Amino acid sequence: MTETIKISSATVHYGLSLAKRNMKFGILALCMNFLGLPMFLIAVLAKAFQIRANTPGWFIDENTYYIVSVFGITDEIYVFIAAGCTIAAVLSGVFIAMNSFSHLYDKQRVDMEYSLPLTANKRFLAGYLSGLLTYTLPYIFCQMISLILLLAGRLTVDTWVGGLQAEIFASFTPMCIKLIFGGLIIMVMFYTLFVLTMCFCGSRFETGAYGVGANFCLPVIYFCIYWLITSRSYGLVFRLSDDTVINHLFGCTSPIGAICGLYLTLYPENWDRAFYTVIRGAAGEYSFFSVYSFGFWLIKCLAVTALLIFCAYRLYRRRTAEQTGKTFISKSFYYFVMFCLMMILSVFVSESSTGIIPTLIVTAAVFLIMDCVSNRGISRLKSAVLKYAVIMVVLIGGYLITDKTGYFGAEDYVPDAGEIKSAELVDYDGYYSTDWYTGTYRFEDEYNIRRITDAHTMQLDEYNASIDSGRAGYSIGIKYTMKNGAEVKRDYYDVYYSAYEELLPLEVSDEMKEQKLAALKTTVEDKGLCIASHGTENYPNLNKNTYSEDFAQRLTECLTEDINAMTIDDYSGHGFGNDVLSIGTGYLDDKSYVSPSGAYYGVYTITEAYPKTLEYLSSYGIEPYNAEYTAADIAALDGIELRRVTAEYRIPVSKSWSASETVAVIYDPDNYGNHYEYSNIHPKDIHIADLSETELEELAEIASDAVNYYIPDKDYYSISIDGGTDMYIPEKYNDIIESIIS
Amino acid sequence: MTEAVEANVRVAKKPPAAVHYGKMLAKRNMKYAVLALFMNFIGLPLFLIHVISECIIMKNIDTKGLEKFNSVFDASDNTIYILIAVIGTFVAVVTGVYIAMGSFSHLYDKKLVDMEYSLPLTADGRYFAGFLSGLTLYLGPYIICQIISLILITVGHVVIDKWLEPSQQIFADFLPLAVKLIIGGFIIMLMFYTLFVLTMSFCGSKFETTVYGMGANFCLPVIYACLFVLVEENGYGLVFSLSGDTLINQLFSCTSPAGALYGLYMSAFENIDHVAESDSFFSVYSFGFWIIRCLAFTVLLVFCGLKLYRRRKAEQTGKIFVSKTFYYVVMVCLMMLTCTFLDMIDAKLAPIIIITAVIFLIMDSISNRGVKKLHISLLKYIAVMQGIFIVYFTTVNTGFFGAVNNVPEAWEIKCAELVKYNGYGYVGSLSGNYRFEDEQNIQTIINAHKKQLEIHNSMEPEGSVEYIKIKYTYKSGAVRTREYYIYEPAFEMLLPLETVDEIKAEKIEAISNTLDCKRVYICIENSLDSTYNNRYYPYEKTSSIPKDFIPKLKECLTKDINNMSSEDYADSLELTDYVTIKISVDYNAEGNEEPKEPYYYSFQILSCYENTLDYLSSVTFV
Repeated sequence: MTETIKISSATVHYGLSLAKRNMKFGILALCMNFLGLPMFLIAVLAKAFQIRANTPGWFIDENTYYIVSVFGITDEIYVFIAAGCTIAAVLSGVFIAMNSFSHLYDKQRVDMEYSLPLTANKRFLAGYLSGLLTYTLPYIFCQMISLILLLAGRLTVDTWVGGLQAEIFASFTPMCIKLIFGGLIIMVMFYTLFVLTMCFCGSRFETGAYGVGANFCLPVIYFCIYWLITSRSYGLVFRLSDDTVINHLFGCTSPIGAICGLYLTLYPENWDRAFYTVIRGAAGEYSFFSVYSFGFWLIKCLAVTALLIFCAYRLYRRRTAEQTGKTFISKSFYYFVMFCLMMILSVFVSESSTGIIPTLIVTAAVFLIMDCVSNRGISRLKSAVLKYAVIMVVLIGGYLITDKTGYFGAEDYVPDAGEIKSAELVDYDGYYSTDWYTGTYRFEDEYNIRRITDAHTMQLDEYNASIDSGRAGYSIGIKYTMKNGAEVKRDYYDVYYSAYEELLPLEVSDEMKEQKLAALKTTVEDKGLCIASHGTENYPNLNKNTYSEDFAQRLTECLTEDINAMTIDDYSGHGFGNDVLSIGTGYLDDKSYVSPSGAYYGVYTITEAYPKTLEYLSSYGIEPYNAEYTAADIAALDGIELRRVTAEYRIPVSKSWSASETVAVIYDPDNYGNHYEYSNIHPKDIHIADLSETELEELAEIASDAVNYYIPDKDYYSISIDGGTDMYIPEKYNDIIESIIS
Repeated sequence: MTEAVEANVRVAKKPPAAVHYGKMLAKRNMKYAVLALFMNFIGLPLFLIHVISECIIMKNIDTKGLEKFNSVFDASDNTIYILIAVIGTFVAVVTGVYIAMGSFSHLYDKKLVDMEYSLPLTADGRYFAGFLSGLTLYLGPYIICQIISLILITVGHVVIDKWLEPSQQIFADFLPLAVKLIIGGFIIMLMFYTLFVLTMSFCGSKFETTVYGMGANFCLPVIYACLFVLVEENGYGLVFSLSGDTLINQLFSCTSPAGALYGLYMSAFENIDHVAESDSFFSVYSFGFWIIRCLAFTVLLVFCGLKLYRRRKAEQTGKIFVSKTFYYVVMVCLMMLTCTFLDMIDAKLAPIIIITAVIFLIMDSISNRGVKKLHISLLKYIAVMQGIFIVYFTTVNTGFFGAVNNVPEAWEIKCAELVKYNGYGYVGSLSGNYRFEDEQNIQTIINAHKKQLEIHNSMEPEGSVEYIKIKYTYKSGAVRTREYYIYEPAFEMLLPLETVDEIKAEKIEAISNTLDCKRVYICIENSLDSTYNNRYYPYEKTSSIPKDFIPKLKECLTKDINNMSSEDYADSLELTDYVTIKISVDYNAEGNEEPKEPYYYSFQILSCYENTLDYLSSVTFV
């Protein structure tokens, strides 16, 4: 009994002696932590008090609306100081850990420390805990000061702020608390990882260099996978902010990954997926087990840290006194770090050069230097060359296998429609790309799913056969949710016509209509409706008083009826002239329909396919705008481009530029460059000034009758006026155009 | 007896102990020499191998590909090979640190010091054995690799240049630059190594030797950079030209390896803007003089290193710093740099104090191996910062010790020059260097200078209008240059100079020189008739222009400028009706193409240029 107490007190003694040895770093960490968040908050508070003393009323002045956060109230340099000092505080962990376990690399110490009346377990525990406390206590102490400062700001500065402004300290607090907790976890993980790597190394230099380097291993692998998929694969998707297993793993398995993981949990509403959920009306909900959940991130990180402690402990117990002084205890660790280093170097060099030779030169130089450093000389150069060859063969072989098998079949995989529970079109804004919102449409009906899988198959077939039938100039994302719960995602840039055409029937499917209307309902309730463009005027600021109270509601009803009644012919067969009538969402305040800021949710283009809506708008005197040109208007234009378009693929006119051939350019030499590239002047270039009166009149008629948004079934001519989008020219004018061209 | 004689002969034949010692050190350093050899090889030689192999491939596969080569830098993937070359060379240079440390390890390693001091060698013998053995291992690989480079260039010239057009002799063209770079690199490496050996004598521990040995390279460049920023930001009108042929640039470019790199850049590359300023052997652009300066400075470093080394004692090994002065010099430079940087990003005093204090205290705690002497560190910090602030405020508040407000008297001046002056009244961009020796004209410039300073020092300076640079040459031979954005009232005082003979002659010369350029395109703009704008008249091509257009135009302009009086000139400036002649010269264009990268000059034909206006209207321009 007495003996047990004595031994435990020896552990405490040992821990205390280590803590004493570490005290200087503890003091350094305290200073650095204090210059981090607390100093920043002091600077903010001091500035706020100074402003209030010098210019009373400043905080309620409406002109200061830009102050929406603590970052708007102080000099940027304090953010810089806080960041720099926090990094220094985190790095002090390296020195603290090295001091606590100095017998792992310092030959002079090892015998003395191993002769202490302590078991390996106790030595590890005493070293680990004494270091950890020296490392984290200054942090905890300083962050408590930060919390007090936040409270002080909440009680003083926040009460001065008036008007539209946010309560800057109150709104900063939740993020701050997340940062403080997150910071603590990341520091503990960093410290533990360093202790673990110390068990692998037996010399001071290797401990320092590889201990810090180990932090980069997993991020490097993650980055290389990202690079392999995003820049080398066809169609495969790797998004850094997606709620995927790899992002989950990355966000908790290394200190750097944990910083990224923490960042994802800070602004869940910013990440793409969450954004689309908002649109669908689910108000940014995400499950506790998602990558955006702070609580789950915390649990994951703690679990990994516990695992790291366990591994470090196991390794530490196996260390013998004689191993101190050797460069590496286990060479596997060294090879792992070197493998990661070679991987990242290969990626960087191969990205910036052609051929494999530069990659081989750079990687060989780095590997041989590193190997000579770890061998303390060049006597084993032969074995170093051999090791290098093995690593590079594995790397290059791995890459070639992945590439040649099409990422193990993933590139060419299209699931069978029968296995799919739902298919989504991500970032899709309708066949004409003029739709209500750019968002995600979800289909569960098998017919609709088959449209998507067919389009997908066609896309791959054309790509693999290298037949370029023409591109739609458009990118599309597909996401399948399988019946077994698995998800398959693909992104294609520049979709082929044939694949794109398959998607047309979806536009009038019940599922799509339903989702369009749901989005309409949510956004109208949230933002209201306004006229987004009418004639040549963008976002005309119409006075609300001109309209009845229920304008937005009635308009919504009309749109709903029209969308429900729309057939495929309605959708594809109608259009308007040069400028069209569009409806968008707008922020409603007491007085007027304000312009939608940047048409955040897109706009509806009202064509003849919306008869009820047109009728209702007409009762307010808003008619679809169809530009009428006179000969004089044409003569005053800067430039017109006429194109011949092949209708082999039923592609909307609005996209025809990508399948067309410019046949004539009619231009004013001085101003053509305002809208077009001069390089387009080649096939038949005519100066506007040289046109006869008859020709001007004919062109005016053509320009007036040309329509937007049309799906033709024959080859046709299109016209672009002053840089505008291409419009369909009715067939009856073909003769006139041909005479102009000739 | 015979045995004794034989023994004596053996002793006599043995090389001296110093050579033995040097060889032993060389053995210790061999691994770094192998590394240096490899790194030097992937520098210039590898780059040249890449260029040669690409040319050979092009020759065999696609002969048209050879057309792209106008210099060795046109090889594909050249970025990565240049990057490899730069990094390889950089690592090769840095091996000097390890070689020097290997050669003088008894300066920081307690275990070695007693053994090495007990060898039968004098301090001088030990120093030179260490210095030379390290130097040989450091520079040997470099020399071998650069000989390979020269062979490769010769091979390139003999084999590849033959396949190319006579205008594309890429290897022959590259040779002079390569030779300069190779010799320059050698000098810089020598200086780097010597400086490192010198700093080793100041330090007694491994960590400090490495860190401060590297840091010492940056001390002088930091002082130079701080001086530059100080003059740029606070010295109103003072000129600190990075490429000027000034004493400070001469000094900077030979007193530190980083500075020498800059000096090599100035003297090896011929496309530096100001290279035409001076072609004397003693200018900053002269490669030969740069070598002499650098070698002289290196010799000085060797000498100082020896002096310090002789005074080192065995007990000093293990101490962190043998002489703290060196440490303080590095710290003052570091603090100065931090302050300057923070000042440049407009930081206030509080952040400057916080950041410098943090850096200083961390560095001081490291060099004290603990925080026990924190209060002394704090005192030292205060002393260093006070010194920096005093120097800064004294310099700024006294206007750089009177230099800012100093205007010479006319009698002191031999000549005053307006550099790159566009003339009064914004009448054109045909600038020239106008030199005045007449006392009255010098007085005019001095008066304008005084007026400029007067306005600037008054409480509310008015808007400035035009950049102006004045260069005074004193009778004593000294040269002072000032540059300003000149205020209108001061600018007006320069008006009388416009009709001075000196400026007229200079103007006429500038105009005729420009018009005589081979690739001249002229565009006439009429301020009242915009239809004449933006029309180019390639002189040799357009038949509507008379053949003798340029000589005639020159003749009329010469006549008008010579006849012009000060009043005419002032009156003409009042009118808004004028014609501008825009001349564009494309120095790169070939044949009769339109200028692609034209360099524009323009000047206004004022209403007082009667002959010119008459002539232009006679050829229907106006």
